Amino acid sequence: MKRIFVYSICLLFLLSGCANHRIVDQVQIIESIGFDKEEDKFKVVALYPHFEEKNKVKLTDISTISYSYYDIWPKLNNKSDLPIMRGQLRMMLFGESFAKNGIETVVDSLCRDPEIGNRIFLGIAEKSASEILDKVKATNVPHYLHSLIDQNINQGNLPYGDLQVYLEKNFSKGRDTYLPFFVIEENRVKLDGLALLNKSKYITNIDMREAFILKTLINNGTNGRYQVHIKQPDGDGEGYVLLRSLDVKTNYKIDSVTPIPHVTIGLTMRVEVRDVPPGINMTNNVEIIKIEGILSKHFENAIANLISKLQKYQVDPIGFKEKIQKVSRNTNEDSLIKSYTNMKTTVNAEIKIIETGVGE
Amino acid sequence: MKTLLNRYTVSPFFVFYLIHSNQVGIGILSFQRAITLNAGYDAWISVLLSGISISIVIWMMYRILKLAKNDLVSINQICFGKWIGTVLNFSMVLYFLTGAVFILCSYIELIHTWMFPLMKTWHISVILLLLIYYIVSGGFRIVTGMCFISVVLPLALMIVMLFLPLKYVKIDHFSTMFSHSFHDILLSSKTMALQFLGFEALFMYYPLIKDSEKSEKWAQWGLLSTIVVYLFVTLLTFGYFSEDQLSHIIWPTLTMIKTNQLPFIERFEYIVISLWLLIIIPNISLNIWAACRGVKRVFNMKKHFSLILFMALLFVISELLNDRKSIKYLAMFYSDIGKYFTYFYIPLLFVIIHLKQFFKR
Repeated sequence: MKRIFVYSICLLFLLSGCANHRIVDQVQIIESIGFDKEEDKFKVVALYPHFEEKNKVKLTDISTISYSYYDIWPKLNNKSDLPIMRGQLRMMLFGESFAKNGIETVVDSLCRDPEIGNRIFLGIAEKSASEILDKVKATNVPHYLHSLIDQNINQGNLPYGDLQVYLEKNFSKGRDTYLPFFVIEENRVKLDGLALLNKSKYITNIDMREAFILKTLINNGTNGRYQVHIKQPDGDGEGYVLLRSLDVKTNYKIDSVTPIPHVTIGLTMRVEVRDVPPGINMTNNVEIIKIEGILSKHFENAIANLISKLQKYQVDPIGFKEKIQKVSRNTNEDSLIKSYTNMKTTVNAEIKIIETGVGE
Repeated sequence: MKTLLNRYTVSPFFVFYLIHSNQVGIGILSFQRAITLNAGYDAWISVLLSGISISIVIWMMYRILKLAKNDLVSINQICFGKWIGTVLNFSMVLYFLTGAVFILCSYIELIHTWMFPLMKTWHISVILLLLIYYIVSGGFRIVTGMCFISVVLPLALMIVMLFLPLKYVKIDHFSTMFSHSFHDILLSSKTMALQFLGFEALFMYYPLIKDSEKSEKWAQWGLLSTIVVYLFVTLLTFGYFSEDQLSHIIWPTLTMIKTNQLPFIERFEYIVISLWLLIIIPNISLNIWAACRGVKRVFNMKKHFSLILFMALLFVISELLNDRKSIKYLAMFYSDIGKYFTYFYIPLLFVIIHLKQFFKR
């Protein structure tokens, strides 16, 4: 018996040579990839870091034209001396014209690919993805776009969304998806709000301010920055207030479903206020209450405007359809979309200023 | 039946591990999609229902075993006579072997899809089978020890792994709850019953348990913990995936684990798949052990000989069944027999043995 055990241990060592090794400097690890439409094919650009010497990285691009997602990898390998690996892929970018035709051809294949992680970020590029990746290449910073999105989720106005969140929304009937939207400004890549998608087709985009409103409505909008132009009724103290959200709570109440759904949205936001226009004294409680009133009014309008814009484009990133369905138990998609576009909302916002910075 | 020597038997409380570890196996990585086919997101009720039904079946098994005070081989001969009994016993052996083949092939498929697509089937099966040979030849106590390890060791990691995806869970997915008919839920329970298979080996190892009559409590506790594990994973999956998304995914549990990311390791599912070896090895071992024991009791064949025979058989079959389609057929075949075994054969034995008892009086 002991002898068999010894043999099997020896066999284990022998067999470990059969598995495929991947030594890190003998493969090319793709970190971002961009898709553009070219007639009926994909134009694909991929970025990978090329290690020249210790601590020195040069981002290099490689591109190809292919018919489908799985076709990309052999085609990229045809242009590369080292095997291309996609396990570390962090960012997938789609050009505007590609996204208008729907990104599901790619994303459906992603579900089936065991090598792709669940936490990669997806994004939409204004005009073409290759242009954006070109600018990223010029910065020479690996994982540039990934870090850009990540820090804007944690410190800014971008709602959380990775591949899993995207898929979860995309495949549910009562919810639509959103992805970060990139533009080029002064030769640099700039995050410019969110692209809204319906059934994986790019419909329209909203700016960073609206993205913050959306973030407060979807998941907690903590740590967002938002500027409000205020003008007091008595004409005194006109200017901008910059606020930072500390704690946001949103609740939805479905008042009625038929014939026209009516939803009451309650928003409670505790904020820190910086930058107050001259003439407003933030140590005065009466003034603070007055500002709070103005801010609340502003948010009520902003939310109502955003929702009517979403209704106009028939996209539903907040998931109103799901909320209506929960009450009505009606799973017919057409009637859900109809009731969503007709939906009326009432918004009650309550802004509480709890901090005003360190100075007076 | 003569009392067996103490050195061959195990304490009644190990029945907990024997039942639990043999029920939680390869299936828990992928059962979610199959059970939602009929009942949608009401399928968690099916998990409960089939769990309860298995609990009743285990209760019946104990009534049978306590009356017969012996294992299935002699029960079959008591109930059905010598000839039919032998045929049934032989099919029992085949049933345990099918279970072992099913688990082995599914695990090899898993390794192929997720980790090493280029690795040859026989490379993996040789390693696994040598290990299994070593365990089973050590006897029932070693197999029990492996079952114990396979429950205790991965536990800590599993709990962490399954709690991390909680961040992605959306309560809204449960909004469509209670929208399916009772008939649909029953259909899903039928599918779910496959996941609870593995407890039948109790029929074979019952005489090897010290104070075996006291072990019923532990068997039921083992089943309960299986139900809890399955229920937790089911609810977590339903919160994590939207319904249509789930229909696109073959291994939902692994996809959920894929979400976890630690600074030193990017992709956690590789660790989990490797760790799963620890969970499936005792599953296969116990099935093989039960088959060997059956052969020994029926044909008086030496365990050493039958074990090598079975290992060779498993090796050949795993080489033949190496694509998704045939593994699917195998799963269907195994679950069909399992269903008849659990819901027809055991109640039948229960009735027959009680009638015999009644007429004897």
